[in-house]
Amino acid sequence: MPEDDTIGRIIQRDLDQLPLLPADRWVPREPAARERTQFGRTSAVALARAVSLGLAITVVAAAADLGLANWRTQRIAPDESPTAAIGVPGPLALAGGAPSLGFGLVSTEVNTLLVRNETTVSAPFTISNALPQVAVSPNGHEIAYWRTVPNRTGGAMWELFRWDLIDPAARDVGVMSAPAGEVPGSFVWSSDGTGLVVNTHTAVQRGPVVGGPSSAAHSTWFSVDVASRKATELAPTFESVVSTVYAWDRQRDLITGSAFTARDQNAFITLQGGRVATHALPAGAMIAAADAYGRSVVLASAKDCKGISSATRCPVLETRDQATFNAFSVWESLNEPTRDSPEVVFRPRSQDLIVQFPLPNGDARVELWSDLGRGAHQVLATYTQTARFTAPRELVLPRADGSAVFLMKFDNSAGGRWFGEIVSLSPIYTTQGGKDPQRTPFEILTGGNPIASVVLDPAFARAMATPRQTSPSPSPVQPGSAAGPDGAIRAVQQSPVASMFASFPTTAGSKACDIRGGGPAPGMLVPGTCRTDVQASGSGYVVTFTIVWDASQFHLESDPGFGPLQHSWPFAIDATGAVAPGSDSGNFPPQYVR
Amino acid sequence: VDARDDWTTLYRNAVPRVYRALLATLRDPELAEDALHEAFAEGLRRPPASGENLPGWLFRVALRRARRRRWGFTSLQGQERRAAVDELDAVIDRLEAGRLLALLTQRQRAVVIAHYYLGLTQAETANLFGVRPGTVSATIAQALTKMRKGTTHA
Repeated sequence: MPEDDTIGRIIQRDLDQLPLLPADRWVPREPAARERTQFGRTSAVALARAVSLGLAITVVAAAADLGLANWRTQRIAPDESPTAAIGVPGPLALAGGAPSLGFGLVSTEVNTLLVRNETTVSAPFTISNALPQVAVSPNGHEIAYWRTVPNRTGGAMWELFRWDLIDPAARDVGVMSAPAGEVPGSFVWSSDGTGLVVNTHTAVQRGPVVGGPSSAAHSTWFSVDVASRKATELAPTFESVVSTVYAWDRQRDLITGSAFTARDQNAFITLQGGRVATHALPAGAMIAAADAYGRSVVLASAKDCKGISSATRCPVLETRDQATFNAFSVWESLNEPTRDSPEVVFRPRSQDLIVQFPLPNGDARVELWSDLGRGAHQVLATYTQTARFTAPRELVLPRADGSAVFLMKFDNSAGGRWFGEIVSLSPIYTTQGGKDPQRTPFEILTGGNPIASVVLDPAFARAMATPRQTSPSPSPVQPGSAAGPDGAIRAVQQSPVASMFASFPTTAGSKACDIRGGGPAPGMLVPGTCRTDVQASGSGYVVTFTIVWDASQFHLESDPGFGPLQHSWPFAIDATGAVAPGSDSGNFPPQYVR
Repeated sequence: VDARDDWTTLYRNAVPRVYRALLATLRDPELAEDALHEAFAEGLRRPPASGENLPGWLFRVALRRARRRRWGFTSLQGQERRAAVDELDAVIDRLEAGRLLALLTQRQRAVVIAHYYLGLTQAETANLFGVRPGTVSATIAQALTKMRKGTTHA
């Protein structure tokens, strides 16, 4: 009979023989962007990393010069204003408004997914028994999709797969199975491309009489780590609801989605740090779009128009923070009614919106709204019933890198075809001498309905994997707008890489500001000064944003404990309007606090 | 930044012992790994007080997380997970300590492992689990009795 100390020794001896976790799994898997930043070293990288951590700088809505006079923008108080552009990589200009060999389209056709090059009609990849829905990874060359596979009892089950369009070794790889009795719902890649968040739900069973009682349905969310194929059911399940997932930001441990309850209540849902928060949507509002970075969500609603018939309704678009559901901005159409709510999609890799308005006369207008609508509004196309588009609301499909958008309509005759045009979203691809974006007629003559844009060229894939572009910037700044130092400042502030400095002075000078730093939510707030400097550099300018604060408010141990401290972020802008971040320098700023 | 690195270093030093303690207590590799990760994350958010027994702190936080997860979360890969549990059971059952600990409730196992494997005193163990030292003493006594009986029967 072992004595106490003997039992202790046995426990010591034997438990040391238990298997040990492999060292690479000792800490939770993290995206590379969360690695420690060596302060004072690089700093476009440092900035990008700090920014990707969701560290917020107080940003005020830029002084937007709206292209449409009949829209009124209501800006939210600076403290509630956007951190939205932070952590979003920024669109790339890998191709223009013409078919590109480097990109492809995923189409659906009778339980089959077809992946074809933009320039050819043949489909090099065909995936059978698949649902007509894909999620495209942030790098643009992986897709996830549901398809049926045989189960052990001879029946079929739903399984989520992924397919790498560039790496032949990673094609049709199973990721997770739908729970028994549940069917696939929405799914989206995490913003770092390492995981998927997935929603499954039970089918709503109605009684024998139309409109009769329905059985309780429930919806379940899962997070899936792609590398380990480990799926985790997220609490809670939602009873009697249909839900949708929008984004998973692993760095911020934030998952967002929405749920429509049996009581007709539509709610936006956040799951952060294991805590679920439910935000009821304003009366009459619906979610029009949400970006896949967990940053912004767009709500659409309508209100009575002013100055015209009271029977008309004018649209209202509102952007909110996905993490807090606080409002960023509200746009109200004052006197331009629409037949229905605008349709909104996010320009990939950005916080720009592509908005389609269905006009009362049957026409439709598609616009590009930069920086959540706070920047320029650019009309991309207007369609009429008698022109090429015979219906007002047709396919708006952005290219994966954010360089262009496919605007297409379906022609049901002669076997069916999709036709329309590719419209460049980048100012560097413009028609000769004009401000109109480059546009090229485009059609798909063979079967399938296009549902997504993907990357097929390895070089483009590498560019897509780059966390932030350095040049050229596809910032929606018109050529020539950088003329003069003030123009350069405005152009830099409107560019995706520097949009977090939109609240800084728009001309050279200083102003008092609150520096929003990191730390536990809601983060520290340090009073200080925000300064903008600009100086000519070759044919362009270098615009520098500097924060100055008192060390008594915040300082790192290695920095002085009293007196003013400062940190600067320079950006170079060339004559074409391309913006590139430089190396930041100075004292350790509050923004870098984790 | 530095605090994070410090925490990661301390955590890594404690992982082998704490992970094995969790394996022996929970007898579920996936649950042990997840719970350990959550304890790491908790340490990043709210580091333990200086002077606290770090392996003990990690063990306690991980056990709490594991308990919560057992109630509210389910892994989808049921078969894979069962296979991993079976594999671990086979390993544990080959060990004398494994057979002895299998005679205990999970609560008793946790206390015994904290005391005998992680090397916490009874007072530290009591502090760890938020109970009085007398309760720890009684729990250990009951556990030892069970283990002695178990070995006698064997």
